[in-house]
Amino acid sequence: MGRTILIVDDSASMRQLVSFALKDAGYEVIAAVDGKDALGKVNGTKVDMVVTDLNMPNMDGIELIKQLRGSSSNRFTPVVMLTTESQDARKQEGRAAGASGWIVKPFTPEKLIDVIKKFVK
Amino acid sequence: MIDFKAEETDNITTLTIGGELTVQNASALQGIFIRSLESSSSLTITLKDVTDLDLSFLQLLCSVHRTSTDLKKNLTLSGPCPEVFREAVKSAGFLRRTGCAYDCNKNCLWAEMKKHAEKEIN
Amino acid sequence: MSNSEQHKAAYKEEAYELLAELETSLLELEENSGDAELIGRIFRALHTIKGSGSMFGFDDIVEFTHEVETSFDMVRNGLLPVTKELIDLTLSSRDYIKILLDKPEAADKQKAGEIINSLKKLSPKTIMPDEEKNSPATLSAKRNGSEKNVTYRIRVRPPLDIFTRGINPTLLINELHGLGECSIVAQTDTIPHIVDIDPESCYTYWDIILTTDLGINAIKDVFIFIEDDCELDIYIIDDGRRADEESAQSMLKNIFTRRGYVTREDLERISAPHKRIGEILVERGDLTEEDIKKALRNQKPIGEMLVKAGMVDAGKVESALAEQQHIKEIKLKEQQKEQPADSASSIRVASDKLDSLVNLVGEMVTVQARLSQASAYRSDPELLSISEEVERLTAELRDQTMSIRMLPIGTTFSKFKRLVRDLSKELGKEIELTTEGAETELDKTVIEKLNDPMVHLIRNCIDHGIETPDIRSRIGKPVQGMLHLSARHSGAYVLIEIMDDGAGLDADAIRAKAVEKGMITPDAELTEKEIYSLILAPGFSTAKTITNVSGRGVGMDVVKRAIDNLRGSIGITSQKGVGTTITLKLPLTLAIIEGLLVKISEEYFVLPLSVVEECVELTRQDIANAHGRHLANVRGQIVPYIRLREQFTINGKQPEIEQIVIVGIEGRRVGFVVDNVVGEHQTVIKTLGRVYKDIEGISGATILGDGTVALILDIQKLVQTAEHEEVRG
Repeated sequence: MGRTILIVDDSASMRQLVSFALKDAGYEVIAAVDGKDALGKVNGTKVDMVVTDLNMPNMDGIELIKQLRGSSSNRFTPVVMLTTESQDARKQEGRAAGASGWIVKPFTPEKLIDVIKKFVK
Repeated sequence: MIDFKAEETDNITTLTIGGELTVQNASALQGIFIRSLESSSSLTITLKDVTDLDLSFLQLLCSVHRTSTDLKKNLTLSGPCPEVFREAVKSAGFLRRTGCAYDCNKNCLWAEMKKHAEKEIN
Repeated sequence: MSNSEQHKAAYKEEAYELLAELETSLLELEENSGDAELIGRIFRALHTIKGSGSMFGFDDIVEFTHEVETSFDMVRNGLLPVTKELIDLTLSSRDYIKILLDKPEAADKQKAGEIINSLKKLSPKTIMPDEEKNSPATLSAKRNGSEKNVTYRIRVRPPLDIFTRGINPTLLINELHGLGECSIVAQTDTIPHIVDIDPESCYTYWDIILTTDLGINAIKDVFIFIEDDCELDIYIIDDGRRADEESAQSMLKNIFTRRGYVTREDLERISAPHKRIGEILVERGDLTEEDIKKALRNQKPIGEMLVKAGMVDAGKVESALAEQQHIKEIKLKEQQKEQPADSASSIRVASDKLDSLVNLVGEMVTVQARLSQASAYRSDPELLSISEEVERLTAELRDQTMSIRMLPIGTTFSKFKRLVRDLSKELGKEIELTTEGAETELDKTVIEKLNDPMVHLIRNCIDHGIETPDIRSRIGKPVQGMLHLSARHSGAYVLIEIMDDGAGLDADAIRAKAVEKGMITPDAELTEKEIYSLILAPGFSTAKTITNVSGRGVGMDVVKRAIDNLRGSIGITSQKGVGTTITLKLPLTLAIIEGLLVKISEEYFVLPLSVVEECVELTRQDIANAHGRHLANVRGQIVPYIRLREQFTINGKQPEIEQIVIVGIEGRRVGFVVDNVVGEHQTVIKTLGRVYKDIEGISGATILGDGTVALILDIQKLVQTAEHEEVRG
């Protein structure tokens, strides 16, 4: 069964990079440009995993995590944040909001997939 | 989504459960177990058409077993064991040689499965 | 040779192979810069050169390679892009490592320093020193076989709310399987009653026994996302030191008594099978020594008693049992490991051993033929069946032995990639080398002896054949020249083609030169083919200037001699302005051929079976019908034939009905007239002595079962000679 992963990032190149790596590993990918777009695309259905950037226009990653945890369909969905070294405070915020894990930029596709595999079968 | 069916005959409740037995539906499953235990002296659980199953369900089974032992009610797992259940039990490290402290009747669910698993290997 | 010298030699051999692979991969990477597999291969090659080098004291290599490896680690992690400069530097590094292997004393340290500095300049300045620490280690992390296996006892209690954080604890726990041998026991004693349980909380915690060589940090990394709020206790329970059971026991006893868990007398009192369980439980703090002492007064299995007495939860006993089991299994595996592993998928054998094996098999085949003949003569059914069995086995043995000697020609081809690259750079030409049929197998000896002539031919192509880019663009050819190497089987032969799209051979120029050198008379009538073959004659060179590349004092005659020695032949086709193709035809192996045994008077000859197409009769009438010309009518097709009786001036009476053995050669059919066709014959080629070496038309000899000698015919030579005579006469 194909697992569906939602990637949320305002950077087109990041979306492309992550989507490519995920598709390459056999996952279905939904891409969204920010938190709002993501919630719209999820539209109350359950996804198998979410990979989200933190700093985004409209709705940032922290808020997205809170919204997902508050929803009935994605309460238990793994959510991984994309952070950078300097964002330690934001990372803690994300964890408090219910993030499952994080990936520090820059990362390789292999590292990404290794993290994904910690959360989805 | 979960599917379940409860049949009561001669004070024995037979529960047939299937679908996604995951944490998503754990609360609903807890409700079903509580009601079934209250209504009869013996509870038989049959797993059928299970699509997914995780640790939360194993915990619920442990819990309901514990309670039924305390209440001196019978709890049995019957019918063919679905692969997804077997796999979940194994990967969560639930297989046992001996039952837990509550298992005075020596009918620990996991100990039974371990015996089966070992038989299959032999 | 001492042991360590042997190891060093083996390392060197391995290192040379790795260097060759490194070179091939680098050149491929140049064309395919995003190929992660290639990058991985390059990294692994460097890693192995370094890693093994340290084992055998090649410290200079280790030090140098480490730097190159670091660069490629960055490439592998996407931190450093693949550029032409990087490839050039890595190729230079590869050459430097080779020098370190060949002649360490000749190594130029300054040059090494320059390479390293240039490599470092390519690297990005900051490479996130904390990266490793802050992101989860990948499971593919360096699994270093030289590290010791350590057994850990892990107890992990995830936070209650782990489910609502989107984490499946079972997946995390099972990640440990990726680190090594692992036993997992879930602890369920804190799961509340069904009315009290929060079904979305995780009450389960785990005891895990893990044996891994990856270290404690790899374990911690598995739980990195919950490390701040889970209970994670990791103890080392076996540090991999091998001690026999006795001393391990006494060691444990010492530990326990020293820590005050139990007294020495207590331990002595505990009977063996229970002791460890009790010890384990005490050590874990699941029990006190008091509990143990109490339990030990009874004589029942301790686990059962402890549970019954309500002293300890069954889950704890379960996990102690798992630990006991785990350790037992690990010890068993360690013991098995100590026995020589049969992991070797290949072994190295000195090639002279192989040669003598081939010789022995050759003798064997001859003896077997005699056995077959003798047993057929005796018509003893039992002997016949033995002889048949021996025949089958010998054939199998022969094929196996031959196949050991066969190597794909690809290794030679890939060597030329570098040659072409360097030469074209030196001469300012742009040349793309393509290869085909690299998997074609040839006898090792043939491959080895083929190297020099091939190098020479390729040099010629690049130097004289392919034009410089500006000339090419002026005459409307693609700027990049093309050089194509191909190999393929053709019967018992392998055809190797070296094809270029260069200027082609200038027949008039060759002719003029040959006249000038007095090799031919000005009025000689020569076919194009014959003109081309003039360049193979000693002392012939058409290049106007002698360059460093092909003008090394040897001509094409050296190539010809080398190929002749391999019983091969050279064919040249060329079209002026379009290109040249040189075809080398080489026998698959030098040792054995399947032959057809024929007889003329009392003489035996062998024709290679691979070229034989059919045998037909030749009657006096047929000869008369052809009016003295050596032509036979085979089902309406005219086939020219050669009379071997005449060819070898054999005396004796020509029989009424002769046989024509028809062979297919270069797409034509040619007949050989003999008295009798005896049958198929497996032939071990014995080279003729030096005296007979230059006899045309004979490629060797073989000994028949009864001891008679049969000459092996060189069909191609015979046909060529006959053609010549036809043309001249």
